[in-house]
Amino acid sequence: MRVRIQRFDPFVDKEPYFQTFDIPNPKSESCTAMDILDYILTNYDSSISYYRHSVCNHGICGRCTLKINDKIRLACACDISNYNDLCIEPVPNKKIIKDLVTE
Amino acid sequence: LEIYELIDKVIETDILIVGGGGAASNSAVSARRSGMNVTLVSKGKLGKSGNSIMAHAAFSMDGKSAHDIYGIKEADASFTRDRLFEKIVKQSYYLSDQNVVEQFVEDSPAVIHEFVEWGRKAGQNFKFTPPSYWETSGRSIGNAIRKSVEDTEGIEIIEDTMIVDILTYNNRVAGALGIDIYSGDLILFKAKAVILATGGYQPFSLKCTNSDMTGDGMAMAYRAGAKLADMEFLLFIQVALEPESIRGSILPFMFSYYSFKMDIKDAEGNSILDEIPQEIKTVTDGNGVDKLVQTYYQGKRLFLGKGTAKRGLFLDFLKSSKEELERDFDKLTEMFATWHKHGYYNGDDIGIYRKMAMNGESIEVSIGNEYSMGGILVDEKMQTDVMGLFAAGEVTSGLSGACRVADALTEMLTQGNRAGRSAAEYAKFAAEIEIDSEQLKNIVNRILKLFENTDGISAIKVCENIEKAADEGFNYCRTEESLMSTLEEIERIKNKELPNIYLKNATCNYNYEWIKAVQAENTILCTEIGVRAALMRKESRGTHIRLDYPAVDNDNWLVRIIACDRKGKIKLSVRKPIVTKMQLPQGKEDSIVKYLLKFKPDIGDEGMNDREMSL
Repeated sequence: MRVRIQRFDPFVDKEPYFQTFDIPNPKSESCTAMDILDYILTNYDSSISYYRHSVCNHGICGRCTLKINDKIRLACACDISNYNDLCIEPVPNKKIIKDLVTE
Repeated sequence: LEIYELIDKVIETDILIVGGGGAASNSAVSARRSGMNVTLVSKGKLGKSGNSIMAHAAFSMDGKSAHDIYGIKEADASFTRDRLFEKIVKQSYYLSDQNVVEQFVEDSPAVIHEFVEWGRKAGQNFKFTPPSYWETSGRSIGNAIRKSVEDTEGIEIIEDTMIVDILTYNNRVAGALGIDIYSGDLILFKAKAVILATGGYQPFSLKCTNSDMTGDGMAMAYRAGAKLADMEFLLFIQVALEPESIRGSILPFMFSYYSFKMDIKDAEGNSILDEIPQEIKTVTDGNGVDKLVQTYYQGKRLFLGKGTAKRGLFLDFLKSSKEELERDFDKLTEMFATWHKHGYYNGDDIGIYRKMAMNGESIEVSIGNEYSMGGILVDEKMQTDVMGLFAAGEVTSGLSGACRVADALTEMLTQGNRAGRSAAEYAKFAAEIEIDSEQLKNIVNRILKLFENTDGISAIKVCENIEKAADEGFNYCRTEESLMSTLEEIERIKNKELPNIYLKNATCNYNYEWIKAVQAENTILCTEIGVRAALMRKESRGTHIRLDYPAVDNDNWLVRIIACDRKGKIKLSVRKPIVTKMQLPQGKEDSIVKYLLKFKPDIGDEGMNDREMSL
């Protein structure tokens, strides 16, 4: 599976850019965009930033909103089993704090 | 370098409250009503973080108060305060401090009544169910929490900020240091009193709780000189292993809670529910202690290696006809639609399980961590051993002893209310705040030092390793050998990994690795204390299930294990629970299940036995 993640640290980068991760297809038939981000964080790049410090992971708190393949979704409730590739961006029109985290 | 040059912001207040759930909100409201300046700091957003929102929520008061004081005709007036008291003490395996239970029983009616009103004002559906509890969703609880604080003028709220340590001066509270998670700014909070309402510690990989349940409050209190107790007692519940998208969901627990005809089998296809003796089922089926009985029988099977490769079991509905299944799933779906999107429980799609059930497929489930009974040692005023430091909710210990069945929401609200009042009483006469700059410097250095390594292990991996270590030997069933192996691994992580954490992310703004590194220190401390206490307790009691010491030994172990810091080392001691009304039992019971048969701690749950009513 190919996952493109928008990255941007306002203290380091001049403008946002995409980083691509080629990861093994998820073993489970059903997993979420949050699971994919967690997988990359643990196994590929521990510096990617997305809202993760106080999350319910079951669609309750509503804090992990992202743009996933052009749609605004909750990462923890977005089943990606029907996607071959993923493009994950921050919610548009908001100030970016870092990578996918917006104000 | 002058320490204050590293501090980005200073905030002074009378009472600092740490937490984002109901213990924090009720502390804030009651402290503010006492006329104090109150600042509430939450790691996430108030009412959208912590374990308050994770519950399939029920909270309660005794039935007599509900009936006689608040005029609720459906309430069961025979469920008196004395019966509620007896139920909690017996469910705790007599390990409750009874002064803390009295506070819960006496204060809860007024506190709960007010919370129901906030829920109504916030437009939430709180459904009354006999004998005397209200059922709702975690999200509705969160909305009521926000409403309560909004309606109380003058509470300053600071969100997405993690408190990293408590500051003291001459052994009394002087404030705390925090990190603004978004900006990375360091904030010095000067406060006369601090209330910790930060929730529990769930050290395992499988849990149904919020991601911020990392034991921060317990660890901070311990470092500030407070005592922790009962850390070996962690509560478990049936959760989903599949589909992966809802791993950790308590939806599978709901099937038994709402009386679906189902079975749980091990990997070899042997029924576990059939193994449970009828006499035990008669006492525990359909009421709260059933959760503990299931942990006991299922946990043993898993511990003995009879589970799947993922340490799972199989739940099936083969005992139901298709018609019964259609009917039960329809009812469940409609009931959840009161609070959730139709067809869903929170964000979890009920339809996936319905389809599997109708196709005769099994669902892989396991036992996950839900709550920690242990925590900061407090008295009935929610005062800790450090002057000016108070605690409320899951972060405390003393109410539930070795087992909690229900009422965590009641605990947080009732203790929060009391902690706010106690802190206000203290702060009114507290001396002026003075900061120990040497202590502040040490704390700042500790958290900034994490940026110094240029190579090493990621904090994400370290946290994963702590979970793996806890999974291995500190889980639902334990032996001397399993606990020793966990302890060795915890020591290794502490000595070899924690000092070698490397933050690839070099800037402070939203640096999740940094936050995880700070949390790792807290979780590993709580876990080590829990494991050491579990090794010390050579018996089984409540959720502490020792396969090598199966008996409940009231003659030798009806004591609370208390941990404190002694020159950088964990010192464990024991003391009897505080008794105000019910004398402690003597003798031994063969197992935790035999205890349930003898003491029948389910009184008061009678009305919960027939959930057809609420379905």
